[in-house]
Amino acid sequence: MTHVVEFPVWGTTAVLAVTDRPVEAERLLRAVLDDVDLACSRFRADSELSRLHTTTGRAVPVGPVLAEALAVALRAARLTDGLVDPTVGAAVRAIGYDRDFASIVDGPLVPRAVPGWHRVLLDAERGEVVLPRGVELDLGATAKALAADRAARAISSMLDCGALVSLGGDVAVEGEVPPGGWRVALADDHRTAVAAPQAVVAVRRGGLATSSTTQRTWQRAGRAQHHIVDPRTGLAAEVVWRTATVAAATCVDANTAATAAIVLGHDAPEWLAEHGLPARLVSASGEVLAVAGWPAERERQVA
Amino acid sequence: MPAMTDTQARIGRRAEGTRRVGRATAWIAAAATVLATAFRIVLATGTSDARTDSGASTSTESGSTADDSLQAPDSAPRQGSGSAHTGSGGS
Repeated sequence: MTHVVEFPVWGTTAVLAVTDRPVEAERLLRAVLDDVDLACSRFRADSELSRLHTTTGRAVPVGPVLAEALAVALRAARLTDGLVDPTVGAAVRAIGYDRDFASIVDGPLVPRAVPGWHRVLLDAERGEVVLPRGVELDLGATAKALAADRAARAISSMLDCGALVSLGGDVAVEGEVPPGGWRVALADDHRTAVAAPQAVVAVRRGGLATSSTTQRTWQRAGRAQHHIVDPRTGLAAEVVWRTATVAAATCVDANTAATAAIVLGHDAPEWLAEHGLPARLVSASGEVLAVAGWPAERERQVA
Repeated sequence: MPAMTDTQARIGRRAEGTRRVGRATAWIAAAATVLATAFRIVLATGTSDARTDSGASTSTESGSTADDSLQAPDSAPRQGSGSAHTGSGGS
């Protein structure tokens, strides 16, 4: 038997499913979320990341959670040749995503160049980072997935049970697997996926993540914007795929690849296949493409 | 003859002393060789460790993530049946 609990977090939804000990598991999940939020949120003035942004140009000690989040974000940038770049903070703000999503208002579109992840110097051994002046970090792409990985691992190892943690559709599973696997419904919007799935897949271990250009959209200077910035242009990525769902060994890697796929556009299928990452891509017009072993048998076109 | 005996005894003690010095010198030389070899091994190990420590930072990266590439899952997802535990989509 699995126990499922759901609650709002970070403007989206957290879903926790465990094979045992749901009360203790939820407590662990909330503790991980609090740690990551306090370290990595760019919307909290008291977060470690916000404080880091006020001390640019010199080496600053950072706590273990932010240090890990930075290391994960820089690794994602390196392994995608900069397609997933944490230094998009100013560019994301420039196209309008400068506050909690619910409060975004229309305004002029003034794109900002992305400084590039190479400019961030992290000494993971000493727990120090140097952020050059003018560089703003947005760890959203990888920090959420990191939180899902950390929580699933902690719950499984500390409570000796199977765990699925989903944060806005970024899914990590660890430990004991229920009969038939952990079943994940897929859709453009994670909130409607279970009730109206476009497909359902079963996973047994690792991570699954979906990036989409259909959610968190807004208007800027009369043009539709979404939250995935192409670091090469500083603008919202061209919409070739409206959603990209990727399976990987961890939620961080799945999220990294899904974001990279949106940015890559037409080159995404080949890139994903080269990396051996099973993926489901839905084009802007709703055609579904299965890549690298993603199950396609009962897939259907999305309206 | 007692004088001869004393002389022979002195010669004998001198010869024995020379042999002891020789054996000690040989032992010292052998020990020095062993120590030098061991020292080179230690130095080489230390160099190797130093290269690892000053290379790509891995200590704070996610425990199950490798440093050189995005990691594929053990197996691809399969078609699921029945009600889903959760949903994945844009958020």
